[in-house]
Amino acid sequence: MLGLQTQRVMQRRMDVAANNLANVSTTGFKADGLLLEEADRTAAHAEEDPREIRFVRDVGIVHYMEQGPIAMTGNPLDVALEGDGFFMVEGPNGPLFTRDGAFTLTGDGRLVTSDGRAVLSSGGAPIVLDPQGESPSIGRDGAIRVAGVEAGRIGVASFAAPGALSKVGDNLWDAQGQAQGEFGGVVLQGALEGSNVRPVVELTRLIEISRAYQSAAKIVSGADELRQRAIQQLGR
Amino acid sequence: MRALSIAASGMQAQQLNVDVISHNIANMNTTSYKRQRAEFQDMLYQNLERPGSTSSASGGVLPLGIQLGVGVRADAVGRVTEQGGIAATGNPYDIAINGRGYFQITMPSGQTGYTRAGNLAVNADGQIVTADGYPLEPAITVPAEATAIQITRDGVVEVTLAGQTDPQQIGQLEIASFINPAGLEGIGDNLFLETPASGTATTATPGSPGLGTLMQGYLELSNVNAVEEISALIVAQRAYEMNARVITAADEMLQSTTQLR
Repeated sequence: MLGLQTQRVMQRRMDVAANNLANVSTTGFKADGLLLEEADRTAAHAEEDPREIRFVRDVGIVHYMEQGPIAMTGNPLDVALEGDGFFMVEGPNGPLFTRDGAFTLTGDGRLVTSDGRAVLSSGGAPIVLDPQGESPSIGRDGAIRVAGVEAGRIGVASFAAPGALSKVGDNLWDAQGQAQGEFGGVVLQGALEGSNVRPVVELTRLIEISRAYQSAAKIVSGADELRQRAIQQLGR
Repeated sequence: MRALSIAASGMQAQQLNVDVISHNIANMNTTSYKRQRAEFQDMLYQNLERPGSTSSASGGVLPLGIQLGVGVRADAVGRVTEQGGIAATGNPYDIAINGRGYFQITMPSGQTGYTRAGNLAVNADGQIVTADGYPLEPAITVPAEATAIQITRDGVVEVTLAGQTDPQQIGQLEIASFINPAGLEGIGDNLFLETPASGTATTATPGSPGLGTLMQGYLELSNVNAVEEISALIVAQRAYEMNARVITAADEMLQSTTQLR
């Protein structure tokens, strides 16, 4: 039983490590980790012979919110965030949040993410630029200026506990009702934030997981052998 | 075991990444080529234990849930419309656009195509055409007795005729601009078509506010940076290998499971 539980948890850890490694080139991706805890259970035949059994249990996923590397791209509508914060984008039920600043314009001048969701201003409204205008410049405070005139400000939300946001896929996060605070970082134009997955850490973890899994499999087969021998000898 | 399909999605993404990088490297010397870039997104998350759900009868709430990601997917291959370098060629029919804008081309289908490749020429009828023989829009015909052609920065085309000293204006070039040039559809041959994503073309004379100017005797080079592409190739290849390593590890785990009995 203990071996089986360990194997189950190791498989989940493997899934998490695999997802981290699959996303080494995903813009603004934050690595996940599986939080484990030691659980105590008293065995069923505890009355005559109370013995503690300890096993491992997965209690939750944590998001590592460290800053990813920032790389210059040369695209005027690519923006990266330095510091804790999220761009606000339009979602089906209220705003969603992202650190992927690969924005583009639609034909009618709306600023959207690469999958077409409207980027919201600090006031929570979509940002629309003049389709005939010059290419915009974005200040370190997120203000978009076209030919020196401010045309809107990219909304950046900050959270007291960014790790408690939940991922919803497509590089988007859900605030889970957490209140937004003032963003203290910097908005960089012409740059994108890379994934913060550290391949060395993940690969080392991969080796550790597969070895732990194998030794748990040994425990299972050892227990099986023990039981088999018990049946054979007692049944005689 | 999700790890197998997750790693497969990672390998697929890196394969696409290498495809895009190799296309960029192949077009390193293509006139006015704009490099492309693959964008990736994490796929949906599976909630095994939803954060915030009740954990005990006394009303305890799980502060963290278990959300497992199921891999990566490519969501866009975008074009970086940065200005390419400009090289002198000495050919009077080579025109580079320095700044925003596209030449308009009448394609054989009657549709208007857009290009920044200014390696123009004159055909047998005296019409100014692209290297593929498609006429410029508005059409400009160079008289047969012209001895020299001058194209100004703002697109005025003048010719000097044999036996005359004063140049004569024969046309005015116009360039088109788009709110979102990255949204144009590339159809090969350095040509682009308008799409709903690019917005409609606004045409004006070169040098108008927000538009580029023309440079006769120059060509715009590709904006591919070899060093950047090669280092991106290394990163993509290593990322591919790492995902392959996950598949091996997951396979080993499955193997030890099947060997239980």
